[in-house]
Amino acid sequence: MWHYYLMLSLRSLKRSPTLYSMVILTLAIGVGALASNMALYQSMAADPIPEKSDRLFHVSLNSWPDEDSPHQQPLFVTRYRDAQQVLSSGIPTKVVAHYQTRVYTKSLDAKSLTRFAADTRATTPDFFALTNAPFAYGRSLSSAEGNEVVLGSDLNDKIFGGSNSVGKAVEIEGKPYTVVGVLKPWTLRPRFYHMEQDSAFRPTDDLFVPLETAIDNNWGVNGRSSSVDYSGDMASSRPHNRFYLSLWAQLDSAAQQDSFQQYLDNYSQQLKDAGEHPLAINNELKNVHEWADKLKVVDQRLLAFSIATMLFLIVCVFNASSLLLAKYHDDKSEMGLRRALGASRNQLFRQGFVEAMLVGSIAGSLALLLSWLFLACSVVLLPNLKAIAQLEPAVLGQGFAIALLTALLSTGYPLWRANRASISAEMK
Amino acid sequence: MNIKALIKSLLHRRFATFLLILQLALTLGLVVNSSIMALDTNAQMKRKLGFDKDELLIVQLLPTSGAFRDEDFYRSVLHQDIAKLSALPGVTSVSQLNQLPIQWGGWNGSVIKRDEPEKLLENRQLNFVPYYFSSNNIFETLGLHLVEGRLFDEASPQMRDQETPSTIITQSLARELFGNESAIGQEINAGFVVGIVSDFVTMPGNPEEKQYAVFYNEDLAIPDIPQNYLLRVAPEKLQTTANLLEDALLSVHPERDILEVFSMVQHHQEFYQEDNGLVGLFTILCVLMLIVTAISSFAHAQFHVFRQRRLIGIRRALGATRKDILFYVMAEHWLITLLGSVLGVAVMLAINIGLSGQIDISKPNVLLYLAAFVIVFVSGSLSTWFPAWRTSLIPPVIATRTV
Amino acid sequence: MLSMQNVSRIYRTETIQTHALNDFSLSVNAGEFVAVTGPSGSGKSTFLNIAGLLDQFDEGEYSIDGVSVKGLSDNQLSRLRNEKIGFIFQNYNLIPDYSLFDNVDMPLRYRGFNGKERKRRIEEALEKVGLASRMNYLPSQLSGGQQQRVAIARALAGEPKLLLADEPTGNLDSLMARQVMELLHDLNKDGATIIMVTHDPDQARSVPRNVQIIDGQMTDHRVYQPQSVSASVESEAELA
Ligand SMILES: Nc1ncnc2c1ncn2[C@@H]1O[C@H](COP(=O)(O)OP(=O)(O)O)[C@@H](O)[C@H]1O
Ligand SMILES: [Mg+2]
Repeated sequence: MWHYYLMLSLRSLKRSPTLYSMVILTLAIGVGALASNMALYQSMAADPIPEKSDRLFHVSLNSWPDEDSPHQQPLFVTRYRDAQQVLSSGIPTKVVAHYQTRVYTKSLDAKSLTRFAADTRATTPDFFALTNAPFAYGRSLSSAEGNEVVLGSDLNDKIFGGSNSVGKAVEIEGKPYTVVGVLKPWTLRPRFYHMEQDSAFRPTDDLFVPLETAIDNNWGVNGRSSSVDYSGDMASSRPHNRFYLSLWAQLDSAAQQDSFQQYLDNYSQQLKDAGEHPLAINNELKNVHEWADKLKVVDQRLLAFSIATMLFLIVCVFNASSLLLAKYHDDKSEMGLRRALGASRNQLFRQGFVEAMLVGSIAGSLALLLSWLFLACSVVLLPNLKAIAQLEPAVLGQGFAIALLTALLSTGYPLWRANRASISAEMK
Repeated sequence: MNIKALIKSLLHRRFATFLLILQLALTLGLVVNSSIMALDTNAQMKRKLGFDKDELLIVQLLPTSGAFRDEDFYRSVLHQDIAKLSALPGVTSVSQLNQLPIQWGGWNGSVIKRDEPEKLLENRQLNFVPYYFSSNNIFETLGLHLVEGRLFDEASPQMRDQETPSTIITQSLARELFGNESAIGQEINAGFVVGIVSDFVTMPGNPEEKQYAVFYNEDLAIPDIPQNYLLRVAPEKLQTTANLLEDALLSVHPERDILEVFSMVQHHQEFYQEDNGLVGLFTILCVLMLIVTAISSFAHAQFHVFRQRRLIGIRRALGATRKDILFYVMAEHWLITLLGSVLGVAVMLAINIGLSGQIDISKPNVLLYLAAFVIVFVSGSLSTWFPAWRTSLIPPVIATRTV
Repeated sequence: MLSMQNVSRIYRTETIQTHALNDFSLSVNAGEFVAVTGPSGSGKSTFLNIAGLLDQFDEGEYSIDGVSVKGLSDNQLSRLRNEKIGFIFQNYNLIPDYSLFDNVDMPLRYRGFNGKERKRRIEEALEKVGLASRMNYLPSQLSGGQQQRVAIARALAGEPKLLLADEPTGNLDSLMARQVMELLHDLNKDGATIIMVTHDPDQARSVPRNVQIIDGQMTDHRVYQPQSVSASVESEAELA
């Protein structure tokens, strides 16, 4: 029977090609626009580390020493000594302090003077285990000090042609550093460990160096750095009120979270009691999702555009529905005839359903093509979206499903109305 | 033409009519709001910058070797760089600058009179005043003019050599701190005010009367932070000069990474790229929406009115002229457009409120609404006309035919 | 075969109520051929539509082939229509862009027959009405009489127990009308039960049993000698 319904649907499409092409085209445009927007939205709102995104927490400490400050909310960066305190708590499963810097580096043996720019993560060694960074060769840093480095895949390609460079050395500012590990290509969307200041969709780092080494070398902060009373160099900033380190902790159980929160609050209270800061105790643990929400990682412009594309899709459905109303009105007498000859209402509804599915499938296929086109347009207009403009299979599937749904929605009322008419009236 | 008959016939097809009215309203709402966004962005970009955008070239670079950790060495290269760039043809002035105007965030600090710290809580912008560390000729390079006091010159000491540094601030900052009093010779947390220069756009996100800035005379030589050289060049020489910069700088010292060479005009445009991009997306959507609504108007006339062939045939048989029929169909469309436009006011406001939750957007105004109405009216009328004309061709003889 | 007891059908509009059928009772046995006559607007079509399960009734009892139709679901009614009833309309109601084959095929599809069975039945039905050779024609390529024969074939293909015809010759000239009537008589001889609404007194007289409806009520009910046309002329004279 479904076969017959499909045949009838095809016949119906052939009967009114103009009308159906209008229906299909409007639905396809509407769904295409929405799907491309969904693709952007989903890749912005994606979970970069689903296996433990709810157990990784960004730590914000409120220890700004100055009362006349705009920072009623805790800063997202901490001082060196606060970070050391947090690192030594012994409560989290893993905990890291890191900041981003930039260095120029080359192979120690290279004759050429050309150095490669490397976005560099100065970090404590837990970083790799906490972020599940994928190693191609070697191992992670063994401590926050020393002259070891881990290379990102891209930089290893540039310096060592992609070979296993573990044991080789790179030069930075005239000093040698031993490569102890090389990462596989590593894409994080968003880059959860550093999403602040609109940087969530930047690539992962090229180079990973021990935190203390970077500070000793005066490698500057490529990111937020706030000071109250200090403007000297990195190396001597450790005891001062310079806020620049990001803190992340892996807390696997609720009990662990509670005791860690307790620990932070006690520490803040101690500082406050010692007169080091005047602010209310306000320390925040935010997991990856909460942190992304707080930072508004999903582009607000995109959300604004989502509103518009949804309205547009509604308009498209209205249009299709209005067209189909005309079509089903014309079909009323034929439907009456079918009923008179023994087709049940259910059978005619099923027939309408098949037709809607057929229309939806065609519109859906077209919509997928269009969504690709819209996405290309979006990237031209908003080049920042380039890194996230991906049409994942899931989005394609959803787009297709939405096309089917809109076809069904547009068919619903016209079909119901045509089917409601009494047979005898139609058969006059 | 009988308005009652019109309304009756619309009510007869109320679902289709209602859908079309809703569509027109939504289209109108979206078109108005997209136009607002476009106009907003345009107004932002047209805003007076307060400096000579068209004559400026920027090169950004970072040293790649550890040798530049030695400040004296870095400075000597810096001075050679500036001398080299100044000698290029068409270049009238070159300055080093730690950060550019027109940007978000950056190198900022609080600025207050020492005895008025509470002002920081009242005026948020005072906490994030951009600090510019630059060559003494930066005012000439940017084209800022002196309002009061004096500018820096060759003889001015470097900031790092002063106990309390001399600073030059912008007019709006001086006014905020000192009101009608003169700021010259006063001490603030940032130093001694020696000069006041005209305002310019530092952070476009801030209101016009809060374009604060603080200048120091300092040859900043920090190897971790991209160095900016600002070149003032005759506009017609911008491109040729831009092509020379990399080689010129590398000939001074090769161990540098020339990050980017661009004009201030480009910098300005890039700053608004996202806003413009969003306007572009909305424009595409508006055009599509107008097309879809035009299809709807067409379809409404084509399929719903054309279906009343017999009735129209009877009208014709009873003496209605072709023009009457044409007018009848058009009038029906106009009535729908009118209803859609009334509903459109509500939709327009709703969309505006919805969008203002995500982005900055001005309130709609009557003029824009009227303009959008005209667009929707014209595009709808055009797409209705063809089927209306075809309907008017229905011969009277249809009336006597059984369907 | 068919039994109506005190059936009423009332059409309500804003201003008036029309008793299209008023306390109407009739039984038809298997194998009968009944002609229904009456002035225009008297309720003939209403009766036929109710008999054919195309329309509801307000009061009374109606059973077909021993099944009471009261309270049956749409699915069950459709099933009955499809299996037990064949309908023939005044204006044929063929689908213009379907071939004769596809037109006859339509009710069989809803019955759920397989392809072979459908093909057999379609060919047989078109054979019976003498149009088997034109299976792939479109209705527009046929005369009115031929179109009505296709409609009859469509009704026959489901091998219904009851054929209902609402003025089947109303749109036909006399020659074509005669051909259609002959076909109906043949079908009746082969065992089909037929109820036919007609305006034509001659046609009515050629049918063994006549029912006249006026104002929704049966006013005359007689049985003719089926073989003799002259006898029916006499009784017509008697009436007058
Ligand atoms: N759908 C309807 N709504 C209102 N009145 C109807 C409807 N259908 C039929 N009627 C009325 O019912 C009466 C019987 O109609 P019908 O059975 O079609 O008569 P016939 O077929 O004998 O000419 C007529 O008066 C007619 O006006
Ligand atoms: Mg009738």
